[in-house]
Formats: sequence, C-alpha cells, structure tokens
Amino acid sequence: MISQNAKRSLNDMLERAIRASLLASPESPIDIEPVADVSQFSASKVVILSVSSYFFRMLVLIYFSPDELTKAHLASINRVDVTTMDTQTFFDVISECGNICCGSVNRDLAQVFPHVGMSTPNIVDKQCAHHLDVLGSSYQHHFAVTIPQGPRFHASLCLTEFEDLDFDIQVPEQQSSGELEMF
Amino acid sequence: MDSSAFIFLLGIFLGASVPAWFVSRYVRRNAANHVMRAQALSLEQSLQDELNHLSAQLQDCEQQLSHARHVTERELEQLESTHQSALQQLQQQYSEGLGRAIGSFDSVGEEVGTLLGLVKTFERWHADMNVLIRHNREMHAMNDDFSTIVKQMVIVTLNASIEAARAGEQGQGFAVVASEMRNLASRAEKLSKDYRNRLYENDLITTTTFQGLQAGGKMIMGSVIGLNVINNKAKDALSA
Repeated sequence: MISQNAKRSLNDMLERAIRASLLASPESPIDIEPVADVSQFSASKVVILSVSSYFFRMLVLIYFSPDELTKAHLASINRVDVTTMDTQTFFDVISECGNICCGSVNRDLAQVFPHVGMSTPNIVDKQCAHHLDVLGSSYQHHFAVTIPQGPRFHASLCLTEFEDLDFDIQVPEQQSSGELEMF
Repeated sequence: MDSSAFIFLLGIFLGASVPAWFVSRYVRRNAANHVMRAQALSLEQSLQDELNHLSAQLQDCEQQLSHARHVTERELEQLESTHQSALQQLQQQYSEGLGRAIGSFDSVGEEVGTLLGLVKTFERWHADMNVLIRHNREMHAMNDDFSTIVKQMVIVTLNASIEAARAGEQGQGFAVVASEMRNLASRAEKLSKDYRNRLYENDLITTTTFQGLQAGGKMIMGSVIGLNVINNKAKDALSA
C-alpha cells in the first residue's frame, strides 16, 4: 500500500524534476497538469528510466515527438545548434533530459531510501506505454507539460511497491539540476 | 620549791625539749624521705621494667614488620611477575588478534573488490538488452512487412470479388474463393495488429526488466562501495 503522503511526495518530486530537465531554467514558465491516462497523448516516442530499491521499482516516462518544435526547444536549452541536430543527436539530448529528470527524483528518494539505483534511459515507441498495466504497478500518475511558445510533453510515473510505502519528502522550491550519468 | 628551782627546772626542760623536738622532727623527716626514696626506687624499677617490656615488644613488632615487609615484597615481586606475564600474553593475544582482524579486513576488501567486478555482469546484461531490443525492432519491421502484404491481400481479394461479380453465373465459384480469401486476409490483418501490440508489450517488458536489473545492480554496487568504505575506515582505525 502506498500512503497519500508518499503519492503526493512522488508527484511533487516528478513535477520538480520536469522543471529541472525540460526548461532552460527552473524559473521559466511552464504549466504542469495531471491527466487521467496515456491514451490521448499525441507523442510518438517515450524515454523510459527506472529507479530501483529493495522496497519499490519506479518508472519515469517522458513522452515526446521528434518534431521541429521539440527539436528547437531541446536545442535551445542544451545550447546545441538545431541545424546540426540529427536524429541520433536529438535522441541523445532527449535521453539526457530524461536522465536529469529521473536523477532528480532519484536524489530526492535517496533522502528516505539510502539504497536506490537508477538505470540508463531507453527510447521506445509510445504504443508501449499503453501496456503499463502489465507491469503490475500499484500507482500511476500522468502529467501534461505545456511550455509557452514551446512543445507539449507528457510524463508518467509508474510505481510497483514490494513493501508498504509511507514517506513524506518535502521538495524544496528550487534546485539547479539533476544527476548526470554517462550512458 | 622555790622559784629559782622552778625556773631552773623549767630551763632544763626547755633546754632539753627544743633539741628533742628538732631531733624528733629530723627523725620523722628522715623516715619520710626514706619511704619516698623507697617508693621512687620502686617506681623507677617498675618504669624500667615497663620500658624493657615495651622495648621487647617494639623489637618484636619491628621483626614482624620486617618479616611482613619481606613477605609483601616477595608477593609484590611475584604479582608483578604474574602481571608482566599476563600483560605480555595479552599483548601477544592483542597482536595476534589485530593481525587476524587486519587479515579479515583484507579478505573482506578482496571480496568487495571481486563483488565490484559485478559491474561487468551488469554491462553484459545491458548489452544483452540492446540485442533483444534490436531483435524486437527487426520483428516490428517484419510484422510491418507482413501487415503491408495482408493489406494488399485484402485489396486483391476485394478486386477478386468484384471480378467474380462481373463474371455472373460463371464467377460464383470464384466469388466463394475470393470471399474465403478475404476472410483469411481479414483474420491475418487482425493477427498482425495483435502481434504488433504484443511486440510493443514485449518492448516495454524487456526494457523495464533490464532497466530493473540495471538499477538494482547500481543499488547493489552502491551498497558494496559503501561497505568497502566502512571496511577501509575500520581497518585504518585498527591499524592506527
């Protein structure tokens, strides 16, 4: 069983992680709203990362489309020339965004769970996200992420617990960046 | 008796009594002095005896004290010797124990070093996952080809049905075959869609399973590295 405090903490952590990973600055304007399910997401691809502990396994998914608006946005926040951004470079950049996002969540979780580990990112087709239920998760939460004059992303967290989870992590208002890992 | 005789007798009496008083007094004093001297002598003798007795006691005590001192000194020497021996034994045991403990820390360090080699296993799993994902991608491509063929089959069977209808009576048998073919193509199309969904499901399960292994591996590596740090600190503290 996952307590309400734990669910709220997870949602707060992911919201903050999205701000840290998908914006040039965490103070930049962004609108993050909860949504019911993934069926109406228009994206075609998903970056998936996992955080594992003895007590739970959590997936962080960021949905995106490899369109020009998304490429331009990611190129600007990563200071990359969009004209030189080929498909592989774009996937590397969006994977790094996912890495920063999940790293932020991982770092917050480490306050409560001293032994947590994080995977490297993988990009799969968005159709895969329609099968999240087969993973036996006990908590899923989805967000619509709207960036003014920018692309629209979606994000999900999907948690499977192996023990009862009850924690309360107070997420600070601002933190500069997430964990960086080579992949 | 006349007065002169009286006076004479009185004079004789007085003349005799005064010396007699002095003599008597001398005698009494002399006797008292004699008694006192005797008492003093007796007392002196008594004190001398007491002094001799005390001196003897003092000598005994000194002898006993000397004996006790010697005994104590011997016991102290034995005790010091025993303590020294025990201390040396303890130091030897401590030294041996320290050596064993440091040896154990070294063994733990070697085991931890071996465990840290697990990272190669995780890297192999990661490579295996990439192979599986590549394999799935190829199956997606094959299924897409199959799906394209099935769509063309549907069109062909539709055309066949149209041509059978144009042939009229003579085309009735061909229309039945075309209808069966269209049913088969429709089932194949449904099968292809289901298969594609299964492939997506398989992609998700494969990816999340291997990510779980990878994240769990990193969690274990973190724990092992923490164990190694604690082991090294304990060894350094023991060796200091």
